[in-house]
Amino acid sequence: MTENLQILVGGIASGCLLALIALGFVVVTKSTGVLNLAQGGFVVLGCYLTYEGRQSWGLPFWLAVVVAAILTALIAAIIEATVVHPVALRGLYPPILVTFGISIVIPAVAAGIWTTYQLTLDDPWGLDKVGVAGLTIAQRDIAVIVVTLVVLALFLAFFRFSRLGLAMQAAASDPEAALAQGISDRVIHMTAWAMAGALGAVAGALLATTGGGGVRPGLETQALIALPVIILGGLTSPAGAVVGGLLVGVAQQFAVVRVPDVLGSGFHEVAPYLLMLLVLLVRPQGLFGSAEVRRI
Amino acid sequence: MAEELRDDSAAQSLAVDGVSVRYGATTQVLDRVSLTVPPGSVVAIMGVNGAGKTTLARTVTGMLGYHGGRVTAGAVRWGGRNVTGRPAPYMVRAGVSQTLEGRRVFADLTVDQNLGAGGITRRDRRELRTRREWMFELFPRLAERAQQRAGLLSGGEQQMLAFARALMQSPKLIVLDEPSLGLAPKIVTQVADTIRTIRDSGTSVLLIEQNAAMALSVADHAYVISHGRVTRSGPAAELLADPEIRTYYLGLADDGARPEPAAAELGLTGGRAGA
Repeated sequence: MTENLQILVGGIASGCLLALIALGFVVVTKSTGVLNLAQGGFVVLGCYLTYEGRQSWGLPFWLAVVVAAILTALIAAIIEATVVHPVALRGLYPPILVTFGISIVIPAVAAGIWTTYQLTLDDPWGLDKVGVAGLTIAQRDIAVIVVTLVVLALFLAFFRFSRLGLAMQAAASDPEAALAQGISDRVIHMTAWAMAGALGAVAGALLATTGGGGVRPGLETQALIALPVIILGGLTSPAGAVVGGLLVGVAQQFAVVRVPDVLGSGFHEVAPYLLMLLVLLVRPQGLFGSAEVRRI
Repeated sequence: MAEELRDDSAAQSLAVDGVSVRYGATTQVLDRVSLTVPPGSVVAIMGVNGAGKTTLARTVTGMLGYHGGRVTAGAVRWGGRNVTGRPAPYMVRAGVSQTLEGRRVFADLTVDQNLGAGGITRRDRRELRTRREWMFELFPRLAERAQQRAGLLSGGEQQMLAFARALMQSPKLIVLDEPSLGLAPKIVTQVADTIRTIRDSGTSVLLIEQNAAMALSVADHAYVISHGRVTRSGPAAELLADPEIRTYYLGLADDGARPEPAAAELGLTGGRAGA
């Protein structure tokens, strides 16, 4: 029982990171109509920029994460304005191909700048554990859960209370009608990408802590697991991203520990996709998706 | 930036000067169209499906680019300033607002949020508050349903919300695209009353309408568009008396008999999307 609960907490923590990455996907899809495959690039940028902030600029860990998130948001907004926006309204495939290209370029550039060696973020927790109500939990997992809650609160507050948040909801509801109210699609699209960049960067920094395995090449593939998350959650549903992230995170954690060896040692890597297939068999639009997604 | 564009003291007039519009390389939709909307007036644009009415609206409101159209000749002037090809965010800040055909309220936002989104370009909080109060006074149903999702409103209520959302921008000119489309006759009368109220409040109206009877009942001046050209224009009263207009757009034959079936399709009945 205790062990199951510990697995559950670990699963929730890794699910939180998936949720943050998935939320980045959803914000862009919902407010710009573009499926952004470059989200993994922001995860990579987030962890390497946090590393840079720690090692080169001597920033405390939290400040380094915030600075990395802001820088990644800026880079994401610039990428949107320069290479994505010109094709954003040109049908379904051109923007997807452009973002696919970006997803290949960013990790390569990062490897060029920061080498491909494993690096350490020197985070405050390392592999320390803490006892909570009889459970032994990694401190890093607690930090991940708290950070995710804070980020989600900021996210909700932005949409509920800010003018820009309202403008983004309007644009997501009906882009043409939003434009007719004077809401600039350029501003909306750049803001959505900036938010996706910040979400990806925070997830990337926490993913690359010691407890998460350190800064290393290939982190962008973590963002790919967010794809089954958003597909099973519903492509344009923020709630779906969060619930889907938690589901996949927990399922994956249990798959690591509880699945018998007969199924192979890599079963946990397949688990998210199996879960996605199961959900799609029952609800093709995803758990929270609406049935009238764009038909092709 | 656009705040200086707004000249609240001087009345502004809209002039469309020999404007031609194309979508893509080949499709010409408007051919040297000219018209004016003097300050404080209601000007109606009438015509059948595909005549180019909606394209004319888009040309004035800055929505042409969104639909891949462009002005190939002529100019649009607003308050003497050349605003040809300016996008909607610019036009809204310059005092030109619009309602789209089919109402297009933000269905999953509340009525209140729709009004908020309408007024998003206006910074003056006091002005926004008075505007909102005025909207609720003008459309009491919206006040009752302020916290409801707009998608749950009836067609007539959604049209009122579309008016209110645009009026939150304190426009000097409002372009209404087919506001009576698909509404019950009783509601159409209400729409006409609202247009008069808007005009009386000092906002000029460019009314795109298939329902010629309604259009001529509120307009000071009217233009008939056919195949992208202005084929008739004049004071609304003059057009109302014109036998040809009566037959083909109002569906009334001079001898009082029902006209050819085609006329009913062209005029009074409406009910389908314009181009």
